[in-house]
Amino acid sequence: MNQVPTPPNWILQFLRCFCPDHLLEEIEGDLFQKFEKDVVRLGLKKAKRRFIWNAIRYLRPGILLRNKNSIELNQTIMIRSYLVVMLRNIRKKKFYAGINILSLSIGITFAMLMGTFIQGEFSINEELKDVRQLYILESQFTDGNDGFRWFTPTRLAKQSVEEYPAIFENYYRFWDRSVTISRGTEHERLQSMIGDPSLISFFGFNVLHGNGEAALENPNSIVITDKIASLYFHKTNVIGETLSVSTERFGVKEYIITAVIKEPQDKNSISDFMNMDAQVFLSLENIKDFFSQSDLDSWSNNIISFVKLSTPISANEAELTINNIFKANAPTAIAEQKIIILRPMADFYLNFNNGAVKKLILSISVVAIFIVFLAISNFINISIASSFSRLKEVGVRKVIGGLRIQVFTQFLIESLALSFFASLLSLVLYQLLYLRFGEILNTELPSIFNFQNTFWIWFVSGILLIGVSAGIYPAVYQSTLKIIEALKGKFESVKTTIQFSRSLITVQFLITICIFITALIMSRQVSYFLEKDLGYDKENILIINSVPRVWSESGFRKIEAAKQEFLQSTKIQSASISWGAPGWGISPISQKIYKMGTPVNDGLQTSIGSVDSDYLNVYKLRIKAGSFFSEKNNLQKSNELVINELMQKSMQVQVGDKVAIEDFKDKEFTIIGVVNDFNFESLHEPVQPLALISNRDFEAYRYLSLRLQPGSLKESLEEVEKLWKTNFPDEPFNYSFANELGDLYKTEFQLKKASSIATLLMIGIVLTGILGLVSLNVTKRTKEIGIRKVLGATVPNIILLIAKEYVAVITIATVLAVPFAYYIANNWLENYAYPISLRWWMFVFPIFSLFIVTIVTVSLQSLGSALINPVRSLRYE
Amino acid sequence: MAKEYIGEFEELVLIMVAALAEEAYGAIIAEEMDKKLNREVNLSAVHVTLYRLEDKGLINSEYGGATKERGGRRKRIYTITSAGMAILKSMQDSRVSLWKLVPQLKLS
Repeated sequence: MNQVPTPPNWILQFLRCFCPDHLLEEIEGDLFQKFEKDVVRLGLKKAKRRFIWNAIRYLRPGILLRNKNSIELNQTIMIRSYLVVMLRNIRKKKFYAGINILSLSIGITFAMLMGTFIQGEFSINEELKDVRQLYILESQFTDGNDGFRWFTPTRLAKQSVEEYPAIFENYYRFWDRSVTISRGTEHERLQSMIGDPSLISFFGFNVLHGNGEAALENPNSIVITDKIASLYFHKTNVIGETLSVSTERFGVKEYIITAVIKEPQDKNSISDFMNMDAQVFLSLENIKDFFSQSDLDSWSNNIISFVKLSTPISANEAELTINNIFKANAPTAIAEQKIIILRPMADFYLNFNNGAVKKLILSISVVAIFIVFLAISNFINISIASSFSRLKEVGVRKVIGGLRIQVFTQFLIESLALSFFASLLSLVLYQLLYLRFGEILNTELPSIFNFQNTFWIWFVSGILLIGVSAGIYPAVYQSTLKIIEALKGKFESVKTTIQFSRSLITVQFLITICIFITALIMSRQVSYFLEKDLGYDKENILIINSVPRVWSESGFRKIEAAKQEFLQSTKIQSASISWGAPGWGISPISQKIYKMGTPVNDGLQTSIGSVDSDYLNVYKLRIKAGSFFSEKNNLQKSNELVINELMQKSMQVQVGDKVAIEDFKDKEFTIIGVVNDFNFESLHEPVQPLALISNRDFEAYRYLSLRLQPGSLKESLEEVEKLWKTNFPDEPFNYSFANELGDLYKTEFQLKKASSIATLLMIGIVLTGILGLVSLNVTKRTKEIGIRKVLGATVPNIILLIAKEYVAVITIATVLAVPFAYYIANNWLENYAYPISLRWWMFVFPIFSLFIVTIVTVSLQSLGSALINPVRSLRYE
Repeated sequence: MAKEYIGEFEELVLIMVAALAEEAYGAIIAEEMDKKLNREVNLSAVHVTLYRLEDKGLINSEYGGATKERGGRRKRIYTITSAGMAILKSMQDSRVSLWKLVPQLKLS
């Protein structure tokens, strides 16, 4: 019989896949018969080829359609049987199934939370009209100086559109101003955008009431969001109503509401440009209410501009054109200073801040993938370990006639079903956690009922992928088991599977250690941001930012008088009026400062902030040379400057030297003092040159900073509010504390929180996995442990025996993880001007603590069986 | 004419079933067609046709005994039904009558 040539078996199996059972025998028989004839006639090789071809030819509707109910019925019965067996198995081993499903669903939930977070970040600005054609103009300074990047000449965007309407479709320019908007007794400090009338049509904001196109064409018109409308009027249709706006030059003025728009998407880079969250929109027609020097057709006056390109134009071409316009028209001194870059609005948010958001998204995705990987590894490990107890089941199935493919399908279906359960659980978990998580990440995540359809596609394919990748390994090796071995309960390939699961655990530990170390270093860096000595004292300072910005003589007198009244209070040590505060935008402009008699372009680009004589005491700056401003600076112009040490060094100037400022060309300033270098901006950048000027010279102020007596904050706050209400009954009381610098490090905080949560989850997942493995391991070795005890092993001996394996695993993982973590951490820290230095404990602590919890887990889990009287364990058969 | 129409290949297979009497099964039909008509046909085509004819009630089938050949698989023996015979006859008749209409010119 053996010599009889047989056709390849796999093709018959293939035929069985689709051929109806009742026809199969006949067809196979006829195929065989033909094959046998062909062998005689054409030889074995050719016969085989023909056989395969003939069999494949059965893949035709005439055969396939005869399947109808028969094949489906059969399969459903089998699938039902698989499910029943699976449920029995789960019930039998609740613990392991629980671990499996729990760790999988934790993984999936985390991945979902991260996924929706990332999707949210990606969809920012998507709602803007024709966002792919929108660009913001950016200045790149050629002389290495660093001015405000988003300021470009007021004339530039306008002239571009006028000269090349085929390239530039439209433009929108704005200045932002914080204004107090009042109606009756309702006063609110709101962010406004004072810009071109094209606003609504340009960005496609959703107009609820009024005529969007013409809304900002006339002076004294104001566009507000529905949120603001309901705040003041308790309804949204408020066209024609008036609101009082505090203008900086003419005090309170009445503006007529011409349109109400729907509040734009939560985060967008227009109304929420640099997180300003503008709610009211004014027209450039009213710019004289706010600035005295405000030439909208100038090359030296700067504004934030957006342009919209016509569809067929590439950004490069447009960029070239706009630079040509700039070079051809602007005065040489200005044109030489910078080149203009077009930044697309579509990914503006992602690339903002040197791509901080992009990096955040990347790190979070990697972490999410790792977590899912850990969960899948657990799944694989536990199914490998628990499959020893299912050897007999597989054996019996095979003896009865179960095919390899059937065993394979059975295990795959099991893992798919488990991942399906896990995904259901994770949907519930998601729904429970998304609000909390959104809070932690400082953003809004959608509820599962608001998911987009694409999300569900991702979700389902993700579940399938997880199910298959978790089940494929166990399915393959279970189905390749030899029948006899399986029935005997022996397992020849035990070694390879154990090695496989050990290497999985090693990788799990590797990842966990890496993430743990980097998370620790990140959180150290973030705390360092808040702990570092910034060169000034940020504690106990209350900043009132709703100060009326009336920058006239009477305005100055009013605020000065109010300051004196605040100083009467025993709760307040000192008070200062200034433009800004360290970390809260100390300086509105950055200008070249140069020694008298030298050219402007040789000057030093310097941030300029305006303060009064008490700033030194409130922020506890240290005078290094000369003196600070005196009381008389608060009352009249004096043309004096106080500079920081860095500026003194870079410019080689001394107290008493005369300098000039780019935009104040006709004036001569005397340097009267030098203060220490303090970090007036975020710690991402080193300290920059800074010049302080008195409010009177600068003709502006925004903040009232109060240094409070240390102690009961609540009482001080109440007192300050009371004083505020008596002094400024028509202004809201908006305040912050100078030490709340969190906004500067928003992405870092998000990353820190996400990575700490991820670390906790990872440790949890790894430990549950180990818990399951150890307990399986121990049950399998019950007899061995019994025998060892009979031979004199002590309980610690036994525990050591079990734990040994994990000590080795952690050691290997540590050796591999440390260089990785070191590399990642170093790379990450390089981004910061003030990085923490890496210390040995940042590596040792995570490894050691992970080691301890693992060993404790292993020991506790194996303690039970180590304590069992050997008599009982040896009797167990 | 019968109500039911059968195609050329169906007709051929039907005739083969009739001709092979008690010995008609898939492989042999294909083989005979190859031998007698010098027409190579694929097994799957023959099977599909057989099933279709059976559906139409023109042939019956039952399993024969198992042999060592054919990988131990039984044959399925097809026999023609009286309906099948009738349709064959009527087709034959109609062919003949149609032939008679063709001008019988002598061709060189």
